[in-house]
This record gives sequence, structure tokens and C-alpha cells, in this order.
Amino acid sequence: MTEQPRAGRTEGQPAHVLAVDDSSVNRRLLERLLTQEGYRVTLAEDGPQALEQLRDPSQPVDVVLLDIMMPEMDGRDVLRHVKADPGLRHIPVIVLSAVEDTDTVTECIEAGAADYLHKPFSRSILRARLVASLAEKRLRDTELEYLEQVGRLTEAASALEAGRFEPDSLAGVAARQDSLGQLGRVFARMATEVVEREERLRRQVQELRVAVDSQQTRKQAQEITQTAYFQSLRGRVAELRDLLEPD
Amino acid sequence: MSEAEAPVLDRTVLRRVFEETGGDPEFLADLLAEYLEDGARLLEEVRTAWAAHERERLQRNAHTLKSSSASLGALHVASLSAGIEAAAKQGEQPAEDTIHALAAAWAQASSVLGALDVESLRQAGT
Repeated sequence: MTEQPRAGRTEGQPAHVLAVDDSSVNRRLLERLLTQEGYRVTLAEDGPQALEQLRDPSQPVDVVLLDIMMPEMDGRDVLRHVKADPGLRHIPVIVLSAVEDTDTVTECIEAGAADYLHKPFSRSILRARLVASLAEKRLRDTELEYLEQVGRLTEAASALEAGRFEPDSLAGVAARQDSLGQLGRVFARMATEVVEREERLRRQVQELRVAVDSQQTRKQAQEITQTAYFQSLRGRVAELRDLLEPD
Repeated sequence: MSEAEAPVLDRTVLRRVFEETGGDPEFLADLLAEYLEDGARLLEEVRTAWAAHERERLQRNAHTLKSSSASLGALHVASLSAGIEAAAKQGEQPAEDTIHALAAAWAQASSVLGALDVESLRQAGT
């Protein structure tokens, strides 16, 4: 046998495959084939176990190999749960089936399965299907991330208008090497300038107001001390002081 | 293909498993031991479920036995299990003869696999 290139590694991180099959022989076989391909493998023997694994946030799954016919909860139910969960629906699911289950395969693809694989599986077909599904997932992940960062920029624009722009909110976008990153950096710089200019103006207005206030106070004091009433009060105070403290 | 025509052991299938899992005799021996142990349990489940007329349990266990057997080339067991699975799925009680035939096919397959020289799978041809 010729040694095939390992398909499981991308950017140094082995992709994580969850293999779900109720047959212990098939689980061991899948584990062996996938490990040889360089994947990190987790096994589950029924639907509830598979969902538990999928929902473990510390071990995110990149692709699922799912047997259709299983006790407790069959593959179709697992697939429906996955596709109904916003946190899981982007994970590609490849269904494993016997050749005679064509109707079920159709049903699974309609329910969102990425692909199917007939049992007994061969290593080369397994590899090809996994590589294709993972490539598609990576593309989708990249697209989602792009859209998310476009969203950040839009939010930053509304925040700027509302006077609560935070320069740190664009750190992720600005770190990108593409044109969106360029846009993010330019926007962040301009927004920061706008915020600084506003802050400067606010300080100047404040200082002017303080100056105006103190001038007004002085003027008011002057006005009061120059009235006849104030002058007569001052005369009476002097008279009283003389009475109380005769020399 | 009729059930009677399916071979006890299709060595082509088993050889492919051997080669694709890295040509490691130890791994294949472990895998076969797992099959013999799990298969015996599944056959017992099939018999019990059949006797108790538990169709869903019968269907499930016949399915798993079919699936494991097909993976390793035990095609006669696989095809008889597939027949039982299909009947149970349609709500039918499989004939007693079929259950006996499955037990006989299992006995044959386990004796062939138990005596198998894994190294012989390395040679070309059957």
C-alpha cells in the first residue's frame, strides 16, 4: 500500500471528527482509519452520546460521521437536533448508511446532511468526503467571520454617531490583512480623531463657561455693593460697632 | 444475490480492511476478537427478541450484526441479518428457519475467523 498524504491537518491543528456508530467493530475501524489520516477522533455509540459530545464547548467538533440506524435515537433525529441548534448547524454531518437505505439517505440530505457514505467504507472515499466537507466548512467559517466584522464596523459607525464610540471595538477588524482590515484601520483612525476633536471642543466650551460665570458673579457683587440700601446697611453696621466698642 | 450464495467470508473485504488499517496484524486480530465477542452477544439478542416478538429490538440488533459483519466480509451472516432486519422493519415475524440459519452461519463464520491466519491476507489473490 502506498502511503497517502495526511488530510486531517490544517494549519497545524488536527481537525476534530466525531464518529457515531452503534457497532463497536465499526467504531474501532473508523477510529483507526481517521487516526491514520491525522484526525483527532471522538467516538459515540448512540444519539444522546453524540449530542452530548457536540454540545461540549471545550471540544468543538469540525465534522460528524453519523450512522443512520441506531438504538435510542437514530441518526435522522440527531441530524434534526444538530440542524435546529444555531450553535451546531454549521457543523457538516456525513451520514453513514448501508447501500439499501437510499430513501433514508435522501431524507438526510434534505434535512441538511452534507454528504453520505455507504458502508462498508473505504479509506479513500472516507478521506475524500472529509476533505470536501471540511473545506466547505472552512470557507463558510471565513465568510461568517467576514460578515461578523463588517457588522462590527457598522456598529462602530452608529456608536460614533451616538457619541459612544470605543476604539477597542475595532481591534479585530483592524488586525486583518485584507481590504476590510484597511477600511477598519482608516475608520478607527478617523473616528478616534473625531472623538478627540469633540472632547477638545467640549473642554473649551467648559472653560469659556467657567470664565463667563466668574465674570458674572463679580459683576453681580459689584451691583449689590453699589446700591443705596447696601451703603446704608454698611453705615448702620459702623454705628453699631461704635456703640458696642466705645474707645 | 440470494442468501445461500453469500460466502461465509469474503477475503477481499477483509484484506482491504487489513490493508487500509495499516497492515497491522495485531490491530486486525483485535478487531476480529471484538467482532466475535460482540457478534455472539448480538446473535443472542436477536434470538431473545425473536422469541419475545420484540420487533424493534429484533430489527436493531439484526441491523448492528449486519453492519459489523458486512464491514469484515462475513457476508452470509450479513445477508441473513439483513433479511431479518427487513422483515422486522415491516412488522413481520421472521420464520424460525431464518433464525436457525443465522445461528448456523454465525457458527461457520466464527470458526473460519477464529482459525484465520492474518498473515495470509498479505498475499495477492484469494
